Amino acid sequence: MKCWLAILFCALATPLFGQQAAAPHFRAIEVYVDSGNLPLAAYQVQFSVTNVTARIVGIEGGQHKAFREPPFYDPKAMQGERVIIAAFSTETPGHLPSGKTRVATIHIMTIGETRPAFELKLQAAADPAGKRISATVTCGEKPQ
Amino acid sequence: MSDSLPPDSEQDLEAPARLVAAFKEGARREIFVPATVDDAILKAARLQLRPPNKSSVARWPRWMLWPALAGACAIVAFVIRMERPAQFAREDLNRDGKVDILDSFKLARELKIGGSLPAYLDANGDGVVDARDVNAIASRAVALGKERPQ
Repeated sequence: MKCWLAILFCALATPLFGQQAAAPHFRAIEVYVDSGNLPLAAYQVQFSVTNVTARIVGIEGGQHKAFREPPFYDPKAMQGERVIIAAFSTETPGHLPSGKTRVATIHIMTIGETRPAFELKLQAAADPAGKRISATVTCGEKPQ
Repeated sequence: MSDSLPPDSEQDLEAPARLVAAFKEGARREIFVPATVDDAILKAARLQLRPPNKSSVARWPRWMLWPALAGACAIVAFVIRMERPAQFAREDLNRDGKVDILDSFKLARELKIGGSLPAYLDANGDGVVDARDVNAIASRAVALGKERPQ
């Protein structure tokens, strides 16, 4: 009888230990756009988490004054794994960033210990005249 | 008038010896035909004797018919497409075929410059061109429902 009770306890307790292992982690992902020598006046980036279950829980603006306000995004992206962020500035070229600049920070919550992988796609970037320019987009996890 | 010959007509059928000799002499002699006349006669004879004309389609290999037909259809479709005016979304202000932040940026720049703005810039259709149109276009640009993740 004691043996059966021990087996039953183990069977019921195992899922509880499993839940403890899958604790949520909050991470801040910084998104950078590099426009080279040209001033960056507008950008649009698609961001998604590809390998783990994740939820986007917040979006912040960037480093430079021109992009300090939070970018445009679809509120439906909250609690999802994918978001399109976009922003522009009508400032003069002298007041716009060039080179690599942080344009936004995306806060996500992941479940489990697996390190999340991200996919970024630059959908648009423009100079102050509204002319499409080539740029690169990267991201990195902000150290906590 | 009777068609029958007189009884002594059999004897009259014999050609005169001089005439027969002249015919025999003529057959032996080679008649000169100029080369141009010879060529013309040959050409005319070939034209006359050639087999009946086949249609131009029949001269092509049969397998070429379908690719040729498909190519013709593609050309017709291309021409029709080129002639049709391009359809742009209301918010696609820069007419590049997609609604993105650059359309919103374009309107923001126009508003900053000021002056009278054309009615087509009224993206949200409220009769006024203002910052709300800028936001409406930007919201459309980042909307998730419009495309599938790639």
